[in-house]
Parts: sequence; structure tokens; C-alpha cells
Amino acid sequence: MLLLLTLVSNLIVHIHGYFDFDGLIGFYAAFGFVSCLAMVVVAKILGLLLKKPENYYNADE
Amino acid sequence: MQDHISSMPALWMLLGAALIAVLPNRWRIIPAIVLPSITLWCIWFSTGDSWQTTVMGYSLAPFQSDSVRQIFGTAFVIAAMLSLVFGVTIASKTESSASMGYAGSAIGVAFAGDFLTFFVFWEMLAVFSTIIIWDGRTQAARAAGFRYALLHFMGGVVLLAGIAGLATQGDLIIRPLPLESLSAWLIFIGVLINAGAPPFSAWVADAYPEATPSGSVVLSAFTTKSAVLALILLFPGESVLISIGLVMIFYGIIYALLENDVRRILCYSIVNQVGFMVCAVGIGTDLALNGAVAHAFTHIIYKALLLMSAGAVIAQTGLRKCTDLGGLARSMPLTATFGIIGALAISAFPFTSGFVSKSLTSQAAIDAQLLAVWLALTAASAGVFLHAGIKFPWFVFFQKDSGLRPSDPHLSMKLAMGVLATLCIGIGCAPQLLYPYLPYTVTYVPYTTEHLVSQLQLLLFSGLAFFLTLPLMRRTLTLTLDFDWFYRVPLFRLSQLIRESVAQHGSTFRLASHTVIQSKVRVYVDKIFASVMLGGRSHAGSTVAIVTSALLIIVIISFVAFR
Repeated sequence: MLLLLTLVSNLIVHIHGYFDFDGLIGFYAAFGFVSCLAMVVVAKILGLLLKKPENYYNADE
Repeated sequence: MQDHISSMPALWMLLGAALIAVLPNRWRIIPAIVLPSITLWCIWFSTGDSWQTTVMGYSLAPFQSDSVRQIFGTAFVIAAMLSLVFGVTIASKTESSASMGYAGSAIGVAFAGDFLTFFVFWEMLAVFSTIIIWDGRTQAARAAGFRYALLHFMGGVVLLAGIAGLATQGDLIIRPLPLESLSAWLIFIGVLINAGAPPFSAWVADAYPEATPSGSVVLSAFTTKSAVLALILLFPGESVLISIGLVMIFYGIIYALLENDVRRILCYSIVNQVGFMVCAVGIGTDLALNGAVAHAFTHIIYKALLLMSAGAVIAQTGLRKCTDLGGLARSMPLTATFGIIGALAISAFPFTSGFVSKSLTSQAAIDAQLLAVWLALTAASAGVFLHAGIKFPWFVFFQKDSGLRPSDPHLSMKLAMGVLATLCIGIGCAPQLLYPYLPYTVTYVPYTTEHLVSQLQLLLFSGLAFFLTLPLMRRTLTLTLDFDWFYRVPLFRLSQLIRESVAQHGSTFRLASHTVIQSKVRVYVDKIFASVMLGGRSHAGSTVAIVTSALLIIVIISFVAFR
């Protein structure tokens, strides 16, 4: 978590970009954070539909 | 002829498999080290350029070498040698011998210059890997091994149908095939099944974790990566691969996030990583193909390392679920360190091998102006850190204190992990060890301050997201439904239905199966397939009928189509 601090200081120093928007300060941080949140939420929702008890396939035994 | 045979790397590995099978167990380490070394020598210094021969009017090239094949071959040799060293104290003779044969088959695929050789080694991959899965010697391993074998032999039939079609149209030389004919599509599908592409992705996480701890390590390296090599050789730049790869990438992340079994998490992440490579093959520029090759090479190494650290934990504790594990870093410091190095490498952390290989593909997406693909790949890189980079080490080595105090494993395991970890960091710090061997000249420079800063931002904020969403990711004692549900439930029910109706109305059928031998065969088939679809339910005998007839239909169609 402390690493975040070093990161924030790095943000100010470098500006970079290949497309229009990815040179914005903190783009990678925000993008990484948001996409991870999205993936966790999607996984959670899918999990509600697709998660079954561990003995699902052997239930009749 | 003799020169040719002795210069064929795959045969040396197969000789090793035979030697391990006959030699007393305590000596198996000798062929396990010597023969891969000879193979490596063959791969790089073999004098016989390529071996051409003619069989039934088709010119064949059983040994064809180029830089792409050499890199894959080298990775296969490293993986084989070190996983044999890793398993020397725990693997059975069957498993060690099959592992060597499995690696040999993968190397055979890698250097096959024609489709006939390719197909023979391709099927051998399926045979040897099934043996390794069965050597897990549990009911679950038996059932998963059967499902695995059925799927792969089905893939093999599709591939063979494609090859047969190709043979009617011309030669069998392996070279890029445009996706214009039915036979090219059949080959494409056959290869993709082995790559773990959707909808057939489930087999990776279904079968591999059922092997022994050392068996899983061996399994992780060969089948999917030889499929990636086949895609590079046969279908470079086929843009449909980009979408297929992206689906694999996100499938792997989502399923890994839901999973509780440690090795299954890592297996879903194989699909994820192969997705990156498939996507790179789809982009198809020089830089992208370099990326696919480099990524396959580094991936084989860090994935073996990750599965070794998971395997060491499983071997020492006998437990395989996140819910049972935790806090092992204190008593297994070396295993934890190696596991973390593997996790950092798969996440493409700076100064690890993933950083210098995965970024080639990202850069290729940028250069090709594929903005959406690049965004997806970047999000996926964050997701890799989420599901493999943090989740695996966190739940196994940290998290809560599970009360377990296992020690670090045997010296041979530590040695194997140590070598792989060194390679991960070595290649990461000195990409010039890898770049010159890639198929196209590399001008890309991975270590720029911009790249370092952006990658660190991406990864660290993913880490933040992980810890913030921990409550959402509470481990549960569940499995996650996947495409295999279709052949484990409806297909199984269908087979039961057919069976019952045959039993009721089938006096003619019964006449046919009247003799003693046939009924014995029937009992045997019943026993086997009882365990196939559901792992234990009885009377699933006619499942075999369905699968066989499906195969038959494919073959018939292919004959009609190519007549």
C-alpha cells in the first residue's frame, strides 16, 4: 500500500502516450483499478449463476 | 537415414521415456537429465538440415527446423527436464516415463514439417497426457482423464478429417493455410481444441489439477503451447484469432477469480495466458509473432514454476483448496518466494520475464492501431495480476493462519524451482538473452521509464482493487459450471435414455450382443464409461455410443465433402 505513494509521485514526473488519452496523468492507474473492479463484479454476478456445490456432478452417488 | 534419425530431437526424448520405463527407479534421474540435454543439442546444432522423404506419393519432412520451432523446442526441453527433477521423489515410474514421452511428442509436433508426422505426434500428446492424468490414481482423476481423452481424440478426428481433405487437394507440407476451405477450418478447429479455445476451454481446469502435484507441472507445458506453435505456423495473422484470444483471456480471469482449488486457479490462468498468445498470432505482424513466441517461452517457465510451488504445497500438506490453506509463508519460505517470483513474472512485473515478453504483444497492438484490442489487453494484464499475481500467493501463503506448519519440500523440488525462478528473473533483467533468438529482428526496447511507470501504476492499482474487493471474493466450497456441463449432464441423460429404450425394445440388439465375449466387453465398457461422464454413476455405457457415432458422423461428412 505504501507503494501507492511512490507511484503518485511518479505520476507527476512522466507524461507519455501512444493514443490520445493514455498520456493523461494516472491513466494506467485508473484504468487498471477500474477494469479490475469491473472484472471482480462480473465474476461475482456470474458466480451467482454458475457456482454450484462441489459435489454437483456426483450428487446421485 | 541413420543420420536423420539420430538428429531428430523427439526420438531422443522417446528413447528417454523407454529408458525410464525399464531402468530401476533410482536411476531414472540419469536419462531424465542426459536425454533432454542431447535433445537440446540436436535442436540447436543438428547438422542434418531437414529430413525429406516420400511416402505414398506425399513428400514428408519429419524434422524441419527454424527459429520459432527451436524456441518452442528449447522451452519444452527445459520444462521436461526440470519437471522430472521436481517429481523425482514423488512421481511414479509410469508418470516419469509418460512425462518424457509427452515432452517428446510435443517436440515431435514442434519439428514436424508435414501433417502426417504432425498428426502422429499430436495424437501421442493426447495418449501420454491421459496416462499422466490417470496416474493421479483417484476416482476423480480417472473420470477427468476419460473426459480429457474423449475430447482430445474428438479434436484429433476433426484434425485428421482436415488433413485428409488437404491431402486430396495437394501436398501435406506445413505452411500457412488460408481459412478458405473446409479442410483448413477443420484443422483450425482441431488445433484450437488443444489450445483450450472456447467453447472447449473447460478441459484444462477439469483434467490437469487431477494429476499428481508433479504431473500437473508436466501437463501445464506441452499441449496448449504446441497448439500455439501450430497456430503460428499455420494461421498467422488470421484476424478471427484476435477475438478468440480475447475471449480466452477474460474467460481465464473470470473463472480463476471464482475458483477455490489452487491448481485450478493456475489452470484457468493457462487459458488466459494462451489467450494472449492466440491474440498475438491473430494480430500477425512481425512484432506480434515475436510476442507470441517470446510469451510462450517465458510462460512455459513461469507457469511450471507456479505449479511447482502449488505442487510443493500440495505434496507437503495434502490440501489443495484456498479455504484450507493460508499463512504458509512462515514455514515454507523458499516455496513462497519461488511462488511469488512466478506470480510476479506472470503479471509482467518489471525485471521478470513476463515484462519483456508480454509487452511485445501490447506494443504490436499499438503499432497495428488496434485501440480496442490494446485496451482489452491492458485491462487483461491488470486482471492477470488480480487472479494469478496476487490471488494465488495471497490465499496460499498469507491470508489467514491455517495452523499448518509444513516445511519446505525435498531438495530436488527446491532445485527445480530455483532454476526456473532464476530464469524468470534472468530473462527479465537481460532480455538480450531471449530477443536475438526470436523469429524476427527485435527493435523494441522494454525498459523505458514510461513503460516502467505505466506498468507499475497498472499493477499496483490492480493490487489496490484486489484488497478493496476482498470481501467480494470470499472463497466458497463451490465449483463453477462450464461448457463441460453439456457433456456431463444432458449428454449423459441422453445416453441413459437411449440405453433404457434399447433395454426395453431392443431384442434385436440383444441378439447381437449374445455371445459371452461380447457381454464381457459390454461389462468392461460399462465400467469404464460409468466413470466418464459423471465420475461414478453407473450404467453410462451408451455414452460411448453417442460419442462414437458423433465421431463417425464427422468422418463420414469429411469423406463426403472431399470425395
